[in-house]
Amino acid sequence: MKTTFMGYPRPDGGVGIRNFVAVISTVSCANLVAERIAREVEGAVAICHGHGCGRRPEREMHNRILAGLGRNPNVYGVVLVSLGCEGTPASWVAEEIRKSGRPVELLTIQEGGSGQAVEKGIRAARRLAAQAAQVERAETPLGSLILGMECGGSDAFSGVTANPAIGDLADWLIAQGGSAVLTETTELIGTTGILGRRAKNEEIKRRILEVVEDAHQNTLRCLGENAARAIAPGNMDGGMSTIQEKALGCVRKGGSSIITDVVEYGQPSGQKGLIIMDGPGYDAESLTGLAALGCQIIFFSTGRGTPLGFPIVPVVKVASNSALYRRMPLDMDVDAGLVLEDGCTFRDLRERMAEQLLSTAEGALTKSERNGQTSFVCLWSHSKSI
Amino acid sequence: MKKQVLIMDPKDNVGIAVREIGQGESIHGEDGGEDFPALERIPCSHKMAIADIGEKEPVIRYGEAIGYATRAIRRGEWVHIHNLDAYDMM
Repeated sequence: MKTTFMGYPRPDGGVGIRNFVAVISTVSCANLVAERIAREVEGAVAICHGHGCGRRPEREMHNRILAGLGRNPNVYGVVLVSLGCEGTPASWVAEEIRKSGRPVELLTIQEGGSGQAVEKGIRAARRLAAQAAQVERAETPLGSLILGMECGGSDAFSGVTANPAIGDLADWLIAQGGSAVLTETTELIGTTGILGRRAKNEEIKRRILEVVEDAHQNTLRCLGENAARAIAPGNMDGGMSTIQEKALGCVRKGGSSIITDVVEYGQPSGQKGLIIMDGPGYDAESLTGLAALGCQIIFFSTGRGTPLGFPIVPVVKVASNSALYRRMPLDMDVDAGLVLEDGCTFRDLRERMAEQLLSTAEGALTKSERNGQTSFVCLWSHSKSI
Repeated sequence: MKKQVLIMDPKDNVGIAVREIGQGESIHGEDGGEDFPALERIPCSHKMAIADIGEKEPVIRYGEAIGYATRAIRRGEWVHIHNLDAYDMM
C-alpha cells in the first residue's frame, strides 16, 4: 500500500485533495448571489447557510466556522459575499482566511445591488480559478490527511460492519502519521470510561468527561428524565440491549488509537492522532464542523442510506449491508456488508477502504460529488432566533 | 456464502448473528475452535453467547462490558434484555 499521495500544497502547510474556489455567503440574505457566482465559474463552489444574523450566542462560533470553511485545505481561495448590514463581521472573516495565505475577495451587495455583486463576483472567482489552476499536485505523505468520521441513518449492522471498518481505516491512517476526527458527542454518552482510558493524559481525559457530560445534560433537557437510558425500540428490535452497546458501536468508527485532543465544534487541532470534536449528532451540522476543522475527506457509515455530501469535502459513503449497496448504487461508495460473507475479513475491507481513500485523495469523484452536491450547509445552533 | 456469527474482539463472550440462526444449528468455532449448537433461535443481528457467562459476570462485546448477565447464560443462548442488564453508568 502506498504511503504518499498527490495533493495540492497550501501556503499554511496544509495539503488539499481538491482545489476549489469557495464562494462563501456571510448571511442567508447573500445566498442567492453566492449561488449565481459559483454557477458561472468552473472550479468554484458556493457555500450557503441559514445564519449570519438574528442569533447572538452562536455568533462567534458561526464566524469561526465560516473562516474555517474558507481555510479548509481543499480551498485555494475565497470570494466572500456579504450583504452589508448582517451580524457576521465579514471583514474579520476575510482577514482570518487571509492569515492562512489564501487570496480572499470581499464583495458587499448593498454597495451596488445584487446584479453588480454577481458581475464583480464572477470576475473575482474567474481570476482565482485561473490562479488555482496553476497549482500542481505534489507528492505528499499520507500523514497530511485529516479524516473525518460520521455515521447517519444507522441500522443494526452499522456497529458490526461499517463503523468497525472505518475505525480500522482511522487506526491505519494514524499509524501513517495522519489524524482522524471522532465527533457526534451525543453518541458518546455511556462510553466515558472507555474513552477516558484511551486519553493521552489526565487533561484530555477531563475534557472528554466534560464534553460528554455536557451532551448528556443537553439530552436530558431535550428529551426528559429517561433520555440517557432509552434506546429506540427499533434499536432493541435490531438486537441492541443497552445504551453502552449502542454507543460502543458508534465509538468503534474512531478505531482504537490514543485520543490526543478534544476540540470545540469546527476548531482546528495542533495535534496528530485521534481527535474528538465536540459536536451535534445531526449529520448535516456535524459535516460542517468537520470541514471547518480542516478534514479533507470524510468517511460516512450508513445502514438505511443517505445521499448527503458536503460542497468542499468529498464524503465517502460506507454501506453497512450489501442490500443497501445494491438498492442505492449511485449513492454508496463502499459495501462493508461484504465482511459478513465467507472469505472477506476486516483486513480485506480495510484495504479496500484505504484504496478508496487514496483514489479519492488523488481526484476520483465520490458518489455524492458525482450527484452534484448542493451548496447548502447546516451550522450547529442552539439559541432562539431574535 | 454468509458467515454465521461475527466476533468483534478476541475478548468478546458474545457474537453477532449475521443471519437468523435456527435452534440446534451447529456453530462453527472461529480459528479452529470446537463446534457448538445454537440452544435457541437467534434473530439476525442479535447476540449469541459464545462462552458460558456466569450470573453477574460482564457481557463483553467490542472487547468492552456492555452490561452484566442477570442469570447464568450458556454458550449458544440468545443474549438480550431478558438476560442482560446495563451497568448503571448514567
